[in-house]
Amino acid sequence: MGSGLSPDKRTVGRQFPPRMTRKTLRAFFYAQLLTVAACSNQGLEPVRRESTVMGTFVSVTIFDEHVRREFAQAMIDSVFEEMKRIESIATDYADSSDIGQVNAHAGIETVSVSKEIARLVEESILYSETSLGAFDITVGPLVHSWDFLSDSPRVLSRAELNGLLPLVNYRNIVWENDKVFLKKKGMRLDLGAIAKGYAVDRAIALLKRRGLTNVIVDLGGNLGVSWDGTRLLDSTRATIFIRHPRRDGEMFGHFEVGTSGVSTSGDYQRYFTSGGVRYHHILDPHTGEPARDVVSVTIVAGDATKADALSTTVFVLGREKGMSLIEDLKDVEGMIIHEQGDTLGYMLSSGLKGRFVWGEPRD
Amino acid sequence: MIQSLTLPDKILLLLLSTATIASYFLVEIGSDPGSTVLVEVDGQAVYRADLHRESSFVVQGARGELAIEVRNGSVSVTRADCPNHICVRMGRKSRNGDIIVCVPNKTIIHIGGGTADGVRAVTG
Repeated sequence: MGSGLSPDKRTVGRQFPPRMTRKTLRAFFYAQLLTVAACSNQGLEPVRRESTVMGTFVSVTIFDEHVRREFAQAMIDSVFEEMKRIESIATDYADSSDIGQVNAHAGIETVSVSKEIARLVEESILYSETSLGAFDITVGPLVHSWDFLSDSPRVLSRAELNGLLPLVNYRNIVWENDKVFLKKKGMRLDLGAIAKGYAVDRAIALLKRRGLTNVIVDLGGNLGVSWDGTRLLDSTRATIFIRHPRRDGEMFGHFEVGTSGVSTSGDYQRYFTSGGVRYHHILDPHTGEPARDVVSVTIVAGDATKADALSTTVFVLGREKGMSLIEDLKDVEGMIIHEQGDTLGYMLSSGLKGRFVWGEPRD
Repeated sequence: MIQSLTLPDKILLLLLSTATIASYFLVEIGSDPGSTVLVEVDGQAVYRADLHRESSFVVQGARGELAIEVRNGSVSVTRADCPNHICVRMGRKSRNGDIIVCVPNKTIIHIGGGTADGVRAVTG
């Protein structure tokens, strides 16, 4: 009975597929799987867009998985909008902005500003006090006169600088609640050393509120890295490359970071040369001239506002005082690049030692 | 081992190998957006070029002209109406995801459609 269910003798002797072929087949099966994996990986590609805002370029990259591209694109649009809004209240080049209003009424009357501008001014004064004036948002008259953005910038004479320096002093900012007053006529606030970092932090916060937590925002080298480590990639940290201060297009080195703000101030970012001397945009508020001790400073901090303000502060303070400030501050690390004979040397804070890799990346 | 295979085995094997090899090519095409150069002025795409075909062209930026050259699989700005010429000093770019930016001209030159490769960023 049941003869119909018994195996056919012909197929018992010759299994299909034969054993060797089965091995081969399995190999092909895995090869196909790999191919499929490689294909599906494309759906996980980060969404990235660039634009220009606040006088520099901006890029936003969203690495979060399982996010619709349309949603990511719309979020990037709102980041660009937010940055334009911050530019419109923080710029000193428009009388209509909060800062423009404060400057226009310097020495005349108190001006009401938005809460966030008031907070930024307050935070700036804090950095001024910490650094004994190496960081100072009242450098406006100097920045305006040097005018590194003009087509034909020129070197200011000592007499001109001496005329401007009395207008530069954060102690002459009077602020209370949301009101700001500059004591002397001709004083000018310039948030150029902190506003970009603030815009990056706002962008990161905006994206986070909408559930995007694996993000890099780059506003002219002011980086905001948000990295929650849940992304199913090989890396739970982002690699940050530092531009070579003297070789265009090359990298000086790199290190990895988790969630943090990173910012670099360098003498190569905005400068002109005259009589063989480099005049760059990072001015020492005490002398009115470009700060001379270092070539560039990169700061890694808890947020981008802090990193932005501190990179300028440490640049002006110079090697010794700058590094000691970095070491004094909690959750702040930094790297100072300086001239050493014909070449460049660098100093790392204790937390960056062993993490920084010098030289061009190998792909 | 080949001798021990029947004709259907061989056909199956041939089909599978063809499919596998073909699929690799398909993936290759899918992941490489074609090595193009895309020039954007104030968010608008104004020029597209093949990165592997020599060409030079001039685009009108927000403030003046930019002369762009494509040569040996790389792109560079050779001349620009801007104060600091940072775009010219950025040199030649060739890798997928590389960009050249001229802020005064609100111009961004992307390579390969502007997709990012890996989790990296540049400061400075």
